[in-house]
Amino acid sequence: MPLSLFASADAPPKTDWPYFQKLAELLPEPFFHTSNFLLFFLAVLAVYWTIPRRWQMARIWVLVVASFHFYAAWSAELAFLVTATTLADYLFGRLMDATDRQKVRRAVMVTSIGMNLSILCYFKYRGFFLNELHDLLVAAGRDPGYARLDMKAIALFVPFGISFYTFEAISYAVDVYRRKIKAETSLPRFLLFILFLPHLVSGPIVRAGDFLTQTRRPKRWNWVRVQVGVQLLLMGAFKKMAIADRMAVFCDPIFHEPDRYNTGAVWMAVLAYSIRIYCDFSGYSDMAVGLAHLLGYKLTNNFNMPYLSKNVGEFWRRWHISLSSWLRDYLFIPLGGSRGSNLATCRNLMITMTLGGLWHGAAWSFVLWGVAHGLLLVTHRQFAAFAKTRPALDAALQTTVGTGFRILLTFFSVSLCWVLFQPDLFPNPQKPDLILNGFERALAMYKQMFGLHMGLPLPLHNRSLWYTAGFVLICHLLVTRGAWQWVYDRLPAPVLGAGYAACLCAAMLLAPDSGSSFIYFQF
Amino acid sequence: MKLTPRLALLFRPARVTPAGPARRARRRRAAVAVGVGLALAVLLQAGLGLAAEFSLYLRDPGYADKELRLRKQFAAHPGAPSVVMLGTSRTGYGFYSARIREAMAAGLGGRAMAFNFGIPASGPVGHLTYLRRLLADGHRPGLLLIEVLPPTLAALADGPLEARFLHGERLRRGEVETVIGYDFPAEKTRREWVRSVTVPWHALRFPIMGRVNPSSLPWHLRYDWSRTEDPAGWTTPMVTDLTPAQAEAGLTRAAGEYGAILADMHPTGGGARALADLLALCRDQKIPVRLVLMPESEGFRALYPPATTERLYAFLAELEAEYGTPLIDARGWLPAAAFTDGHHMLRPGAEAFSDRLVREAILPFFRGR
Repeated sequence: MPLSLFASADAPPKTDWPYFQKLAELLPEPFFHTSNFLLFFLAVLAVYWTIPRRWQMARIWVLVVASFHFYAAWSAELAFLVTATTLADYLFGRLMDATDRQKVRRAVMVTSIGMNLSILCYFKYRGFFLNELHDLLVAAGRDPGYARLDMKAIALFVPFGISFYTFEAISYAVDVYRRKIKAETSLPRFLLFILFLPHLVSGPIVRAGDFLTQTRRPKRWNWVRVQVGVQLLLMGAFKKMAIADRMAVFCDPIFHEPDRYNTGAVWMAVLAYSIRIYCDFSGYSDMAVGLAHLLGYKLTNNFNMPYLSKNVGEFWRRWHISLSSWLRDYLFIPLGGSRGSNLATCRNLMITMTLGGLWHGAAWSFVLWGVAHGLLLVTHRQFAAFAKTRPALDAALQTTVGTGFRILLTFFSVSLCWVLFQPDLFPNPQKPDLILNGFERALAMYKQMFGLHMGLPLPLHNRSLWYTAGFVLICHLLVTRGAWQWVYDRLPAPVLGAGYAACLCAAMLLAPDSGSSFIYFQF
Repeated sequence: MKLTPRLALLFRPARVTPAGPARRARRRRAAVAVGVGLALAVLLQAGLGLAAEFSLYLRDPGYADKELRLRKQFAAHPGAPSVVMLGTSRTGYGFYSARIREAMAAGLGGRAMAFNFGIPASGPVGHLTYLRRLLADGHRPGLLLIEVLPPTLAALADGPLEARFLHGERLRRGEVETVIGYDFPAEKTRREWVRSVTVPWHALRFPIMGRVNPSSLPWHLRYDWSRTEDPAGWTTPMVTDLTPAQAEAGLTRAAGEYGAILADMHPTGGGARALADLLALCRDQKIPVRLVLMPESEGFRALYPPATTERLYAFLAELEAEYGTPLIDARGWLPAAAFTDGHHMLRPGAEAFSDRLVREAILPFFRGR
């Protein structure tokens, strides 16, 4: 069966409305580090801060309209869909608050979650499930004849950020149901909660309780906040352009066609991918948090140097924090968390991580990635319990050498799992030999890694890869040891400013040929 | 007028806490840092943009490095009979300038100068631009050889073939409209040039990185072509031994690159007009010129259908008639073994081509003067 039988469309549907067509020309890509977006954001910023502080609601409306346009520039129809579901979630929340009858409240919450998950499944998982169904039917000798359908005509485009705002809406419904928060009464505030442009497309996943309270505080121009925003924006742009996109030059060709490359090159590609995915997503998150700061909002920090984690559990407390804490609060704990027996806890971990894997992408490779992380967490849990009963071993692991070993082992395990983190590809007539299935590609990678194979070397001289890896490591160490903060606090303001300018120029200078899309945009 | 409660909410004054001295100092520091950063970022961009406009060393390293070497060669051989060949990578590998200079010196009984001005992926529009720059810098060769790469004369949908490589950022302001006159995509070329002066740290990153750390760039983005050149501009072919399979693969690659263009080539594009203007410029400047069709293997020549060959020679004959520029047709001079891919010469090929070029074209020219 061709993999693209129920493939997603390559591009969002073209709108017929001239207004949105013009908008799409002005803002062709929803990427924060493009000049078009920065000009758009500067215009929004100018209007936003020109509005007097006492007109807080007017400012909120400006942000809602700007966020809608940001999304509509990419797809007007899907922007209306997001807005419509947000309106529905708003009404569901109000409905829950309007009654004290637990059964009704529960029914409304289930309806809200059902609606959000149905839309998510329809756009994101439809192809995956239909492909599996088709395979099953064909295997059973009952070919449904889907292959005769015009697949291009029925292909859907997965809306950017659908997994992120779906989770935000679900957490809101659950929190209102649990009476952790009151349902938001102001429609513009609620619209802003979901549509806020810094987090709309790729998170961080914000909680209603955190965000909605911020919308009530009047914002005043604050240079410290602006500085933090600019700093994060620059840091994110540097991570994305100078590191992540540069690493993509090393790893993308090898991850696409691993069997053409030699063993050493494949191992280095895995290292490059580990650096890439971290800098890509944390760079995006930094930019999102920075943009929010410039508008006077604070989003949750999504990363905390995850590659310095001493075990996988810690890794998940430092990696994509907004998702892992969401999974913990709305999936792992409701399943029973770690309150039950050891076996029940392990089961809960496996379920949570498997669903977490599926959240990332509609492919078996992502599911297996989740399973692999679940297994790592379970293994670590068992080993930690084992080590606790052996003081000598425990003490050895707490030494500097032991800690270094644990960090390396965690990084190695996580990096091996990244090999699984690959989407299915769609047939490319120019590259007929491409392995389309993400899982099969991952297997091919492992085969090259754990055998001694000859083949092509890295696409670029490896010096650049080592420099980048060294740079990332040094930055991590400087931050962990507090050296960076110590220097930062003592730097004269003009030197700091010069650093910002240098960072911007360096990001521009080190950007490779063509910037790649953010990895997490596909989720 | 009484406002509704919701509307009144819009105008409700905010509560503001007064800032203490420490907080004020922090704010001042932040404001200075952001302000200085912004000002410096603008200054750095403007500074590099300005520098790039004045120095081709940043904007067009391929040209600038050649020009520097040419200047040194002219300085080392003042007043000697000189020959410069403008061309593409074919010239870069094939015109063995040091050997030619020695042969010229021996043949003419004195000093001589030969320089290889072959720049990869160039064409008549680029050559015209380069010659104008060279003349502006005071370089005047005794004989100018101009390579004709037939596919660059073709009228393609997206402009001349070289427009895919001679981007706006490699041009000076005054050159942008000139190349657009030769069918370069106007909007794209202008935009690239504008970006090269407004955000030069991004637009000129490959030329800069090509100088600072070339190994960090893939081959097709490296502007360090001059690293493998000798002082007379000749690029030493990196490949020394070639298996028949490698040669075959090279030819297949070249066929993929040029086959479709040559299949129905009409020398009527911007490149063809630029070549005519280049010859007109030489005539005005009284620079003697010869057009050169570089050697090609039999397999590569087979990519030209008879009609294409006929149109090509008719066009070159027209140029010869109008500008009095004889054609040196070297297409059949070398066997297939002399090439890596049917049109880029190996060292023995370059030696054989250069020897014959001196013997049949360069020495007769200088002896005849």
